[in-house]
Amino acid sequence: MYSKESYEYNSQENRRLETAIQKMASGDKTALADLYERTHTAIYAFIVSILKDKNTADDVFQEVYLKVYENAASYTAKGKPMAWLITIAKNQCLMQFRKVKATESLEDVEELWTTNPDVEERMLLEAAFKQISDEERNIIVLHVLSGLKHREIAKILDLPLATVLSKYHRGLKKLKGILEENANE
Amino acid sequence: MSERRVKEKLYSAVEHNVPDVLDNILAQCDTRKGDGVMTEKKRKNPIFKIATAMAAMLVLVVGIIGASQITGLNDVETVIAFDVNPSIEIEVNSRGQVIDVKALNEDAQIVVGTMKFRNVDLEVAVNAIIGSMLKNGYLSVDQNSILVSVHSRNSEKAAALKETISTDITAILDGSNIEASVIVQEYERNEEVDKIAKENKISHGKAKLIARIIKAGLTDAEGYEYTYERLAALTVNELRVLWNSKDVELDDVQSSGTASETKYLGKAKALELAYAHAAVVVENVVDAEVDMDYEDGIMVYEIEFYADGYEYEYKLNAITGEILVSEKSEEPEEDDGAQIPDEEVTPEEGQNPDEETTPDEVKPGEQESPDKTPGKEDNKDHPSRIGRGNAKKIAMNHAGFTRDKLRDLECDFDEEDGKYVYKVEFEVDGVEYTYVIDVNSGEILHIETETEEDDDDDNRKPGNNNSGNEKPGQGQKPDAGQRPGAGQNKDEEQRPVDKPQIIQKEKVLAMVLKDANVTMKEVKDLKCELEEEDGAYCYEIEFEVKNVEYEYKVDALTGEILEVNKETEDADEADAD
Repeated sequence: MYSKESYEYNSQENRRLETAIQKMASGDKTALADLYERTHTAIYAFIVSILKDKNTADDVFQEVYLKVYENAASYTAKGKPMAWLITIAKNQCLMQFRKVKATESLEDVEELWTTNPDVEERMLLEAAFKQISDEERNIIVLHVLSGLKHREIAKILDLPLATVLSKYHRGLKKLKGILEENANE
Repeated sequence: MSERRVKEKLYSAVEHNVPDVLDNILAQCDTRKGDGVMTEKKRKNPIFKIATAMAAMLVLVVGIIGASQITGLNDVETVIAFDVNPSIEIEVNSRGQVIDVKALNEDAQIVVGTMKFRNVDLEVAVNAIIGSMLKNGYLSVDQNSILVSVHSRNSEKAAALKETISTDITAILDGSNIEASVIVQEYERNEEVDKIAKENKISHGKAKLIARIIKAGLTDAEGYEYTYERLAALTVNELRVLWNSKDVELDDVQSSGTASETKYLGKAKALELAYAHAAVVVENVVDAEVDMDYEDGIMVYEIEFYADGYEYEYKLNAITGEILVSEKSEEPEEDDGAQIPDEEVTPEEGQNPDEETTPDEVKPGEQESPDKTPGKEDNKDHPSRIGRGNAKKIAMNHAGFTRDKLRDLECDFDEEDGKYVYKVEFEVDGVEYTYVIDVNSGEILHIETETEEDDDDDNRKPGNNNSGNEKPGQGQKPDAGQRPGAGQNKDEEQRPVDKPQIIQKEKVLAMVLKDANVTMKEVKDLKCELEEEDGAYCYEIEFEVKNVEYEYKVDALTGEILEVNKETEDADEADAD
């Protein structure tokens, strides 16, 4: 269920994450578990949004956290742990693309929503993959779930800021519209 | 429907799908660990080495030459630098006596004045210097931060000195009822830092601090890293406020006390100002964030918050509270009479508020929305609605009024003849308008006007009976989005005279060319079209200059550049979607 503490990446939460990363650098696995608990949804959302393939996403997802653990020692605290995690996730996705070309089929992601009991969530996920563009979805996922600022998103996705802003608002509006329409039925 | 709701739902939806791999991860990570890079060790080691080496050499020298009091007393053992914005370096010998005091900038010269420090005890000198800074106003309640940088051959002394000086300064300022914010660091003489110090006209100590701040990777709210040039201009107080607000710890730097923020408004006040400007009440605000930052020579507050379905961003001068930037996202979903901000709806060429905007300007016969090809209406499985905000805008623009002229603006979702519509109602100068707008296309289906018999507002205009404007024949609900014959099949381009709010094509083109830094002569294959997307109007402009292809999307109401794409002929990157 939605709970403000669970994924609001404000400065307090960021500090907790950075503390966890610091501990991980000395091999603390409980810290890894803690970090995982606090970030897994946001990270998974990003990976699956990029790869558009649930099975591959599941594999990459695991690998990402292993890499995070490996590299914890080289993380410098700047107050932006999510951006760091997302960058690692992005790189893993890129490596994945080099291995296997992305497919165009939606079958690979349909599972995400067909198995969902909640109607609204189903519509939202389906819309996220069918009604808005890949970029719009990636941007929305990064801003809404990982709490990255638009400028950070622009840097990570290598897009102009103006593009990020307009795609974000456009994509979000479409998604909102779909939810709203569903609510009125 | 708020962004918050989308966030909740999205989060929940993804969460159901996240595979449970934690155990796998924990199991595998043992085999991965071991090649981690060591975190940076403190630099005490080299200092020890040098100090030991120096000590050894010194002993040697002393041993050979024979202890000479005079020689020893002239050797600089320690250099202590003070930075507030005056920059002062104190050279001290092994007996704690001052050899020389150097004023590194103009302010420092004022502080040092005509005082002579040679052979004076360090403690006395510190007293005198700090006292002078207080007297000359360089240290005050507003500006209470001082950077103490110690560089010594003798590391033990350095550590001790840091303590005592820090305590001394705190005591001196306390005597003037000022809480001192003392920042202490040690440093090694370093050519690179030296060079930076000279280039930026700051002391080595300050340059070192800035180097440490930059090393910590601090970025401003825009995500750009700070540079020496930007930070060199700040006082130590401002530097400390800055890095404090980013919640970052600097290695090898100890600070006591709190940097004064009394000359700044404070985050609470900044928020207040932002809310006032946005005309929102604090109860409706969620997710407010305030950050301090340093931009273009001034300290600013950067504020973000959601209210009533809009997303706001503000930048305020941290001292004066002047609003430097204010931004608001697109339309809300709530209908609470939320103000539609000026910047989005009424560019300057719009209304002349002194003119009587009589309803005669309204030309309900002319449908405002451009031609819609039949396919566009019914191709999507889930067509998205334009939203109440846009519906209001469309009605307002068509009627030719600014928001402040409208009374009782309302927008309701409704159904008419099997179609969903927005009903936008408002009153201007005693005339009540009702616009009925298609929820998907933004097309104005029909308009009604009537005077109010018992009007209770002040500006009742007699004789403005405009019921004749009602044209029920117009605006039959089209089946497939086709316009009835009476509405001309205009091409995409609006005639500016009907729609004062849309910026003329020529102006937009000029702006775009300027932005791309090209002249009309250089341009070939120019295309410029006014498009309507989900109720919002924008110009899509394409052209080619040499072998670069440009694509611009410009908001037709505000002139804001929404999107820019540039492609060189031989690039094979996929076009931005």
